[in-house]
Amino acid sequence: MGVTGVAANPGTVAARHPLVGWTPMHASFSASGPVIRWCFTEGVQFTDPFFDQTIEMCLQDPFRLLFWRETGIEAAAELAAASPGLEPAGFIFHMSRCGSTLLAQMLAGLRSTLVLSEPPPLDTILRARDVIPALPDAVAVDWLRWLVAALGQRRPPEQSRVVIKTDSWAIFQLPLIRRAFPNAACVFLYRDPVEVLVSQIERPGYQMVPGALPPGWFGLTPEEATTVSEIDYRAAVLGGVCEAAVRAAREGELTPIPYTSLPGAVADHVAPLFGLEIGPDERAAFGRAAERDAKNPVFEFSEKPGERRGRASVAVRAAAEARIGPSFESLEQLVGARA
Amino acid sequence: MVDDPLDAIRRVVIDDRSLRERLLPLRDRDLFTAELVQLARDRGIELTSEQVMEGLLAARRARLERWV
Repeated sequence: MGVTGVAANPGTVAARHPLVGWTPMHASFSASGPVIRWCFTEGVQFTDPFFDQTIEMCLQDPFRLLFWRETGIEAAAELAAASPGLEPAGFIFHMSRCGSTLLAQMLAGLRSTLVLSEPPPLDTILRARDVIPALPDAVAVDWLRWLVAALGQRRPPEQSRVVIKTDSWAIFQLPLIRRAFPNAACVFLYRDPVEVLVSQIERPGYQMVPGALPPGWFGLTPEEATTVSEIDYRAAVLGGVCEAAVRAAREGELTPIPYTSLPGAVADHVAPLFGLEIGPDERAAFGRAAERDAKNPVFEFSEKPGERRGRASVAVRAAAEARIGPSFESLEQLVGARA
Repeated sequence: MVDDPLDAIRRVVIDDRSLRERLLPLRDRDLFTAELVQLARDRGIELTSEQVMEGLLAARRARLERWV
């Protein structure tokens, strides 16, 4: 199934590939492979805190809602051949609730940089092996490159790089990402385990639903996943993510960035790693972005230091210490050694 | 087999920049629907406003059910 899944109007002459101006908004699997649903996004800037928020805004327009396209993933390859996407400058991995949205929002303020924040089709393609366990490596890499090329189409002409913030559990697919994009830099944002766990207890994310992701990723057996307490499960998820990051950092595959180093580390460490040029104007824009609530920029950032810690129960503190503490300490040591 | 009128107009509109530019600014569903119905009629496609509304609802439903 190529782009011909929706026939071109015979009365027009296509001056460019028919998928230029369209963005993958959803991916799923059929018997013949990945199926991509595309949204018409010509002229749309992806500057919302999350990719899906921009898509939702688009779908408020009756045209964009009604006139979607659906193709096989090969159509993304055709698009990439006709209109190569921006080269990924970097990937932002994170343990969740740790400043990664702030980092993404700060970088999204750079006119040279397209930032894609947790695009759902990326998660689907990264986890293709959940659906097709015997998927050959080379095919998985191709699918990923094609999808990222389609997602990373240049919007304003001055854009030259794309930065991708992944879902937190994408750290388990880091080897695949490295094979597909060996030149991209990778960073891992992390934060005090108690503070993150408190947030995930109060407003759990998708990954905190037992069974949503393979429990083996977090060092749990299927039986343990259904018998441990809610607090322990969530701590195990965070611990598993951090442990994977520690392994990758020791192998030189990514750079850990502590929450406590934000926002200064964005200009001082992350931007140079991603090859982004930062001058006085960009630093000023970073400063303005850091004053806003990253997930809802109409509001000012208002959380006080230690506020989350103060809401932690004894059980939360114990679970954080036992299940996340060791990898958190390792990340701190790695950062200390770098300093 | 009789072609679904919504599919037929979708094939006409989707790659035609001038039609896209005519429909895209119409953010009001009623105005959009009226324009699309007229545009279809001009091309010999019998499309009703109910079919457009059903198409919009189906697209919204598909979006909501994407995680199910």
